[in-house]
Amino acid sequence: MNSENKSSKTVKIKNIATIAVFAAITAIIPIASMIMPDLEISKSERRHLAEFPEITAEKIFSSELSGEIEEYLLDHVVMRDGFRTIKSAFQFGVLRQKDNNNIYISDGTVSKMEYPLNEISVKKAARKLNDLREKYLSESAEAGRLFYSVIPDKNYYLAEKGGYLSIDFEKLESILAENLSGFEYIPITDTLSADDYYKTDTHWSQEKIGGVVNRLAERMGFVSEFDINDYEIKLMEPFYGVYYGQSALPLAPDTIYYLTSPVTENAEVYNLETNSNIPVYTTDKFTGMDSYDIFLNGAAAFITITNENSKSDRELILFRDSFGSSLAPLLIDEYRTITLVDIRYISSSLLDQFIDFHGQDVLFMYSVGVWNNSDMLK
Amino acid sequence: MLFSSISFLYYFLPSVLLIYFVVPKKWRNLVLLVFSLFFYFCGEPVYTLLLVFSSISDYLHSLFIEKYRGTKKARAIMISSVVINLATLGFFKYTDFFISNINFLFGTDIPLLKIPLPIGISFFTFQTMSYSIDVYRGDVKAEKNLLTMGTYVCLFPQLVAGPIVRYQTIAEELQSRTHSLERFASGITRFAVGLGKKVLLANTLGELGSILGKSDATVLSCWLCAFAFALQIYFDFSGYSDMAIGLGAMFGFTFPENFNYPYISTSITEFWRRWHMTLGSWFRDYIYIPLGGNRVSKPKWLRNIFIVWFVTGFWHGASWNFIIWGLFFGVLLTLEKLFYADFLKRHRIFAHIYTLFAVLISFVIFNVDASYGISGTLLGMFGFGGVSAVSAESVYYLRSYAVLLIIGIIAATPLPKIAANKIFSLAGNGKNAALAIVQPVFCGLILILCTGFLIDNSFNPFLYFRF
Repeated sequence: MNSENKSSKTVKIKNIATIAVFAAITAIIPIASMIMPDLEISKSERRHLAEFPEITAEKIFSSELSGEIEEYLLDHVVMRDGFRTIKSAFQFGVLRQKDNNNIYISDGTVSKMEYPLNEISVKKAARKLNDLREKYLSESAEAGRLFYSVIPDKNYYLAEKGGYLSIDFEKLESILAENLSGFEYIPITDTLSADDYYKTDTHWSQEKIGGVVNRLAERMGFVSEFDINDYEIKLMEPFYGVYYGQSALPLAPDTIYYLTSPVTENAEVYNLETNSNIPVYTTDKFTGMDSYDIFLNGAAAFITITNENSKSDRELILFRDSFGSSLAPLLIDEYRTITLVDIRYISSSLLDQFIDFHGQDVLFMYSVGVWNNSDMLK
Repeated sequence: MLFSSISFLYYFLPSVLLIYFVVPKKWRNLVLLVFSLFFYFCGEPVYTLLLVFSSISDYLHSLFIEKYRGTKKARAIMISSVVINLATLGFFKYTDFFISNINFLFGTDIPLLKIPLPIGISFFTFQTMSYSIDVYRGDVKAEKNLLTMGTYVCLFPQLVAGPIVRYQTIAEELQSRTHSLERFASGITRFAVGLGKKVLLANTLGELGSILGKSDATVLSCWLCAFAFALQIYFDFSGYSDMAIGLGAMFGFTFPENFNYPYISTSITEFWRRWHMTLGSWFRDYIYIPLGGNRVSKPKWLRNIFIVWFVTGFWHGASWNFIIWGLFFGVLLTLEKLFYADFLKRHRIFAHIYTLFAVLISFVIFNVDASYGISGTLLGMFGFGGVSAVSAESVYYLRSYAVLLIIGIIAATPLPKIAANKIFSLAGNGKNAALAIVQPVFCGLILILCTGFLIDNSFNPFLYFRF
């Protein structure tokens, strides 16, 4: 075969291969997407996927329909998570971007940049707490039993080393100190480290927050300190945290360790919203949308934990976010009742319908993300 | 419907290609027309009628021009076509601009009409208008087949954002066009290049500007915003043109080039020979030359320049910043031609820096949606307005996007094309046949990668859809 023929043949093969690759991709993806049954939720992104839109004449002629169809198609592309992984790997590996939608990986841990500090939000949160103090918590304030704390995010520990952006934590603390009156601050940043959080999730690991419990014990006057030997450590795995899905990278999963004891097993937990008793650890939830929901059954506006055999007769009202779900079980031993209130899900103006405020210990314990986005506090 | 959307890439395009190549040749224009109307209908259901009206109007005008060729009637009909096209464009695009300026000048309170801008109206009115003018001039014969005419006007690859394809460019291909493996494969490759420019580069650069806009302005962030936008708009628009040209090739059309590495220019004159070339040549052929071009007295020549650049700016948008943007180039071009064109030729490095600087400033003026505002960005770039030099955010995002910016700079030069041609020629000479795999692999990777970006990203506007 002479070189001209060989060259011509090579060009022909190149062209056929280009067309074949293009045809294969543009045929296989839509056909496979149509054949595969539609998923209702994306577990990795923890959200409901778009449903095929209802077709109406109004939508057709307003071009709304094509937008909704595109949204549906985007949500139901076959191997959706695989495509997200490709994108994420390209951004981190080729473009060398430091984060992907504010998610970054440092020392094998996934974290999210909470940035910048939203001073207006922090001040608004402080106003909300002051309002609650005035309306419900004057007895607790007079007794010096009104506390608050700020749970640092993982980014607080990782950002500086990796050159990532993080909020000015000291400024957040100083804004709260300046704007809150009648509250005692319990700092906990020195009791934690990046290793005390799940590698793929935003939350802290329950078995590693003994330092936090002891700091609360010290400031709030618990009868005894936290001792992990009082608990049996149980585990569930694999745990794919919220950042696992958001990073879209094939990372090693975490293990959820949870601490049980006769106290946690005998405690009576009541969920007002569902009007039902629940266990402290709802292990069935491990296979649900968010495995972290095994702690006190996940998000709830109003939960009471009663322990008839507590070390004291004191009561605690814990204004909390999801971090509180794994913290509260470690406080059961100290309090006859713990009332967990999440005012992201219930209006604070309704609280006196459910709680008799009479000078209990009150702890506001929110993570940085809530202080910095306090519009979610009702 | 965007080219860079799942509905286009995986549903519309495969469907139209399949049906196009399955039906007999004589039906192919009909297939293109039907799919093109559906393509436009998806984005602009009601305005599809406007598109149809525009096609029929110029179809009829051109027939009558042909019928009355050489008479005063032909001229009147041509003027009628121009007036209808300009009135359509003026009504939909500029009415509120004029009302708000009248309200401002005379203190009146005329309510704005707030008419949604039909996608691509600036492009298809210019195409149909130039067609009627060309028929009047005798450059082309009037198309007697309405289907052919409709296919020309509505052809989806170039319908909404160009390149501005003149009828005479594809007149023959509208009647009969050849398809080949080579052409189809090169069309796929060109489409993939455009898709990559748009999705991987332009969209990601757009995110940088958007993120920085949420932080406090610093000198660094203002420069980064300006720089990122200049690259974004280039990759966005040239990427769209690449996709259009690639799609055209798949269907057997040869569309004109629209960009030729404008950022390697060493003068503003050269920049505009390389940037949005089909628009530049349109204004040259239908405004500048009819006004006398440069073959008139100096004052008239200057008048012609400023008319063209006023119109160029105004074409881009019904807002004063676009007019200022156009006139900014008019001033620079005049100064270049009158004073320092020779100096720029002798000092190429300086000339390149000067050109890039001027273009960068021009795009700050152009970017009406600039995060810090036009004046905020311009002042911030030079340290005015009390901004600090850098901040933690601006340094962080410079680091985070450094590789993308470097890739963007390289991709805006002919280097990638030179490298690709080298690889293809090595593969083509038969000595390194294995390199033949590069092209299909490249196309496949881009398609997969862009799909990943589309699925995970919400930032996917086409900047030139607004024009």
